[in-house]
Amino acid sequence: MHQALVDLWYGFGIAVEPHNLMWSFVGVLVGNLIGVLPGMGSLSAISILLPLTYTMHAVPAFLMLAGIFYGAMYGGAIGAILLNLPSHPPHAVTCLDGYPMTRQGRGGVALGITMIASFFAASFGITVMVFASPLLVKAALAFGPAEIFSIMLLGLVAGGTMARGSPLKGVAMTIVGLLVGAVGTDVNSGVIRFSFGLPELSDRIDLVALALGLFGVADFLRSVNRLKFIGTETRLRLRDMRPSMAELKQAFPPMLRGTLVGTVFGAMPGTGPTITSFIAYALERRISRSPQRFGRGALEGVAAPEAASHSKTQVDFIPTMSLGIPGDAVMALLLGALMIQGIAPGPQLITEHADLFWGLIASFWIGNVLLVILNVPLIGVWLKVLRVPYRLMFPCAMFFIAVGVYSTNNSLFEVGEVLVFGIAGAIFMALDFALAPILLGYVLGPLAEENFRRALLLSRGDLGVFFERPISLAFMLLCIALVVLQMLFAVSAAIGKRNDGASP
Amino acid sequence: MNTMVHPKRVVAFAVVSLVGLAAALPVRAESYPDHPITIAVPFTAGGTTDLITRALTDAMGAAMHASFVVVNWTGAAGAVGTARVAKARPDGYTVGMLPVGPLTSQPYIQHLSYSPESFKYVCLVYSDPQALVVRKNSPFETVKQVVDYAREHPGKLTFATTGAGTIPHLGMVEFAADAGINLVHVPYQGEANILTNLLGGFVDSMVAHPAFVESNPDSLRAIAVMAPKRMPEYPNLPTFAEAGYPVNATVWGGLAVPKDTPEPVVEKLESACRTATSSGSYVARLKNQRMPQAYMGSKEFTAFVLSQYQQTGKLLKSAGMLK
Repeated sequence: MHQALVDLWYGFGIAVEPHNLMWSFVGVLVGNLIGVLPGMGSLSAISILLPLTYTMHAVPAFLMLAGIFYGAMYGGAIGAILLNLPSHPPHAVTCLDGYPMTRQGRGGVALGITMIASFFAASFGITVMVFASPLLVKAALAFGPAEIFSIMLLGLVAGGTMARGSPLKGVAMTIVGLLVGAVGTDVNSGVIRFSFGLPELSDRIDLVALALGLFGVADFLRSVNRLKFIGTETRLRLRDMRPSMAELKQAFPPMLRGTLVGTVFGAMPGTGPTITSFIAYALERRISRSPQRFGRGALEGVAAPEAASHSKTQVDFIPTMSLGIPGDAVMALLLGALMIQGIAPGPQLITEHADLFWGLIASFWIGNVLLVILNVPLIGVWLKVLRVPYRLMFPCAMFFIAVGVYSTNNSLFEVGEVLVFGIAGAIFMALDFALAPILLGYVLGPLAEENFRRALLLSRGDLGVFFERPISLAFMLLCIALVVLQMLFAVSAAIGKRNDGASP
Repeated sequence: MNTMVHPKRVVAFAVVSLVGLAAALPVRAESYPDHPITIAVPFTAGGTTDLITRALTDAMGAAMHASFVVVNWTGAAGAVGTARVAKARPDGYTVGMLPVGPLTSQPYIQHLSYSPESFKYVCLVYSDPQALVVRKNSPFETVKQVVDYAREHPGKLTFATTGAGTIPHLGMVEFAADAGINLVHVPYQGEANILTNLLGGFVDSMVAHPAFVESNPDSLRAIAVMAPKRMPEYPNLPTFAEAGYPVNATVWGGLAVPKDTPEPVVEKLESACRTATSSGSYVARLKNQRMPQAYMGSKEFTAFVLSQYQQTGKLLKSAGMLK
């Protein structure tokens, strides 16, 4: 504990050196700007700037790349809230309530809460990372295939009914998502499924393309002839960004719960930030006293998932650093950047390159402070975006979506995927189906399947494995309870309705 | 006056027609390269193959006084980019950095527009043998102990790889067939997920390259490497061959061009590649990445790819994975 504090102090010393601070700022600024553009996530931002680091010293290079990483994440929230464009897939959930808030003229408050929630959650995540990492690593190792499957199942059961409106339609959309997720090479057998002979489909459907198609393009296609402006009725000023005391009070408990969800999931490798933010949202909706407000601009629906994805991202560095193995593609790219510098990732990194490791941790915090300072003046610029007439803004957004999606894999095929999902999404929306469960099924389905089959492979086909292991059993019981409760609610509602109908 | 042709126009016309002529003419090997060469990597930027390619092109650029542009054409386990290289104009200005998977496995697994015969092979530049890896506290120390245990407990011992039909998987298929044992294959997506389950005790072993063990010295231990002889970087790591099972599972890659590329162009590239792979800066950068260096010239590499292609076909057939 004491040693951790001493090391952390040393790290702050490294991170505030003017040269390092400058690169950290450059990273945050570039990341923030790129993150706002639809489709341009941290992955493309980091790959573009990677060659620049070849000639740089390791510490500033890594501070800059890490700055891009969380700068882009924060920028992604701005696009999701103001334009309904989730450039970073975890923000697809933020769209659900953030965009309605913008339409009600409360976009500024949503951005303010996002900023507070992400700063709070990131600070919490960093604290956990510094003091509790050995404990969390141990906990992470107790999660085998059976446990991961049970969690995914819980996510599917909880999320399937997450959509507002008809639960049946929500379940139907989850299944559409599962089918979309089944496209691609099966991990267990290497067989390519539903590719229709197109080699591009053997890699799965691209997550970014799916999210931008369903949320960005579909919404555009639906509302193209209906909206004249978003901006004129909103009249946003810098002052509007500051949430009132009541709003802060309302947002704080969801923020705290979201942070905890993110922290728990952060310790588990293989669960991405998208799943985490979905689960935080579903949890908030479950325990809310007025779940009908969700999807119509509920502040909790913005605060909880934003907090979850930020704390998850910070805590994610624990498996990355302590096991030397990247948690996702962006982490892999960051470790690749380390290797260019001749620094081998792995547990020995902490002892051999203490300046880099502790400097990085300190820079997480400094970077988050920089982000807050940076966005106070910049938020005015983001809000001006809303004043741009719809007929000019959305064609531009479409252009950036196409460029952004193309840039992730240099693939024109994926731009086509955006269009297909945009059209399909518009049709679903016209028929009053919610789109979020598609994304949920797509993300959770393949993980659930993979771990289900792996668990059975290891238990030699014994289904009991899901109920014998205590952690798995707990999640299974939660799933069953959820389904039973749902049925009881439905039955009692039906009886209530009949009684209402019987009495005049 | 009007009929007089402006001298500037004559020049412009001449330039335009010359450029057109140059494009129509077959590649002139003497002047090659006179503009930047595109090197296509079928995997993402920042990955292992990409990093090696960037190190190589820096060194080759110095060797042949040319500039290289690295592009990443990703998709379908490398098959999309490889197919694009096969279809590129055979003028030596599109060169592929093609790894083992898309060349020798994917043509068996997917329906593709290319085969290993669609290329002329320039040079092999890296070769990374795979090793059987266990937890540090695992009871297994030698290949013999693994075989003995598996004989006594058939279908009990599990090994994890990064997917069915990958080089690590096929290496173990070959080993199990050689030793006459029955092992359970548990495929994963990515080494991160394998590592947590290996350390958590859910699987018994995994296949990975020795540098992976070197990055996790406190938790992992390599038993033996699937290479014909010991690696100079790891002289204390025995081979499967020493235990009597001559298994060879190596992840390799090298430069290749479309098959109609003129021979002199291939020779120029090959000689630049030879100079580059022995240059100090390249060797140092590969060392930083813990990637074992290797080199094969055009002739040797061609024969190697074709024999590996045959071998992989046999193994995929015995794993029941032919399309």
